[in-house]
Amino acid sequence: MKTKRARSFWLLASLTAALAVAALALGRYPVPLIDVFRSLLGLDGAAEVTRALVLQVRLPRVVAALCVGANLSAVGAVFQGMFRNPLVDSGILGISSGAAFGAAVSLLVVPSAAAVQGGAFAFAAVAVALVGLIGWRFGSSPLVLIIGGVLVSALFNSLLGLVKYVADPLSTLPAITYWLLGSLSGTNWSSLWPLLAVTLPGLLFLLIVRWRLNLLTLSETEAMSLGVSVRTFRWVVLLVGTVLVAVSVALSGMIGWIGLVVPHLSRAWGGPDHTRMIPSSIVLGAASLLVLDTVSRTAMTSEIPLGILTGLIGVPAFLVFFWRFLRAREEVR
Amino acid sequence: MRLEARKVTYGYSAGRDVLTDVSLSIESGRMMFVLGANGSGKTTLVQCLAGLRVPRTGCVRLDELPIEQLSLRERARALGIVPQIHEPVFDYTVGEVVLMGRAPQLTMLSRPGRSDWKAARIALDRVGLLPLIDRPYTRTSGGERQLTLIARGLAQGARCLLMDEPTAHLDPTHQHRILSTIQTLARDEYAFVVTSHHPNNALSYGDLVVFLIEGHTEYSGLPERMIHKESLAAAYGMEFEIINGIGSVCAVIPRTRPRDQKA
Repeated sequence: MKTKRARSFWLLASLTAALAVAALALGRYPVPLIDVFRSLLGLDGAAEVTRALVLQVRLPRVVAALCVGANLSAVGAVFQGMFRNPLVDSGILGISSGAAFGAAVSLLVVPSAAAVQGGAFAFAAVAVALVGLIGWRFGSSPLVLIIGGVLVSALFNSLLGLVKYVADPLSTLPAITYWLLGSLSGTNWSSLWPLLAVTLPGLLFLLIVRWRLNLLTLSETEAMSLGVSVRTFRWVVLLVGTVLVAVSVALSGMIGWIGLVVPHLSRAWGGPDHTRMIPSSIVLGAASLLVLDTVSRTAMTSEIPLGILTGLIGVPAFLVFFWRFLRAREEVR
Repeated sequence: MRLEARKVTYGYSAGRDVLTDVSLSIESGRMMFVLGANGSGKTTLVQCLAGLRVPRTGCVRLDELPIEQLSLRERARALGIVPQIHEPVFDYTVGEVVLMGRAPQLTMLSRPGRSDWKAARIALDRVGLLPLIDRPYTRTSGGERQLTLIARGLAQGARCLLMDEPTAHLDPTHQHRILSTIQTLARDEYAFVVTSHHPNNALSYGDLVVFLIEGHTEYSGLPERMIHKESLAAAYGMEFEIINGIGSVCAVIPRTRPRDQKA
């Protein structure tokens, strides 16, 4: 049974790679697969325009979708475990609200892509730092951190409201609204590098310690009696998770549901053991966001914001899991 | 293997000590019951013994070595805490729960391998739960959960297990299953400290007993010698009837107002 699971994991991983190549071919100007391969491998034969389209426009966007999807899902899985709460997602701890406020302020003051990305990341960090401060002052139990996250989110939501209120309703406000709905349009190599630089080491860290993440689901004394210095470990994992999410959200805007639903999907597939859940969340998250982003840019002549698509698909998906959860509970009783 | 507490005093807040001059000693092959009323400090004592709480005065020694000189990992390899059963959030399998006990045997960057799974299987086999290895922990009974947690302690490699009320919420059959398993393990050179609310279990299964009365250890010794009217009255604040078996005490029951008095 274990080898069967491993086989289906690698099948899914290769399917994701195939999807990524397919996504490079799809779009307003379909590119034949052979030209996609020629461009990727640097072979002759593809027109210069085609090569530029594949390598400079579509490839960074596909890579961004894979990274953002992987980060949000993996961190969602980690947070659900360490907060012992299956309703937590990667945006808990105020990351999303902080980023939203930072992006909105940048759009108001210096509306350049880099400033928006930087502002979003900076305020995501500020939000988490505030939650961290609350945790440091009142004890870093999961409950304190969740309540801290709720409070800080509320604070930044009000501030966001203020920015929207004073924003120019004809130019700035629509830009803010569009950012809040989440999108990967306009991703290029120069906006992508912070994400790439963080994603690879961050996910590698989570993969290396993935079995130990199970120990964070235990109570503090229980984990300590198993020889794990929970507090240090928990703070390190929180820091890595936060940076992964903040850098993703800074590039993509608000993309909800992925970080909530994908962990449930991987838990349904391989159980709650993080040994399986982290790799499967990474691959499933990457694949889901890639598919959604490809739909978002090909389904209609204008882009459908990603946040709308993730909600439309995420809500019914979550209902299914919730229903299964209730049914499973009844079997116990 | 010998675990010893010498005049341990511990308080959560200044001026209010939960434990005062607590002393006890346990060695391999023995099963010690700690009896005491609710709030008498049993759980605190277990955590002090495990080195998770540092006594204000006094010390805990493991084979003559002060426990605070051992790292968290070294402690976990010698001493295990078997917590009270709790409702888990995620449906880990029984095997995965026991495997978590391997944490102190692994370094930060390593994951459990074949030998750790083997240790988990051996531990499960010793408590008679090997057939349930792939069953979700959420779908086991209270007694099976307690046995799983004992197996996790064994998988740690710990030779001394501290058990916080292992028989709470269990019916007599399951209490017997847990306690006789512990008894068998104790014969195999394990040491057990078991906190309990049931003096009768101490009489039936214990090698040693100690009463924890308002944070003091008293009446420490053999169960049939130390469980008597005075110790029970001091510990629980009510009268007990002693029922004598052949040659020794076999059970105690709380003295209730006889119903037939009215009639």
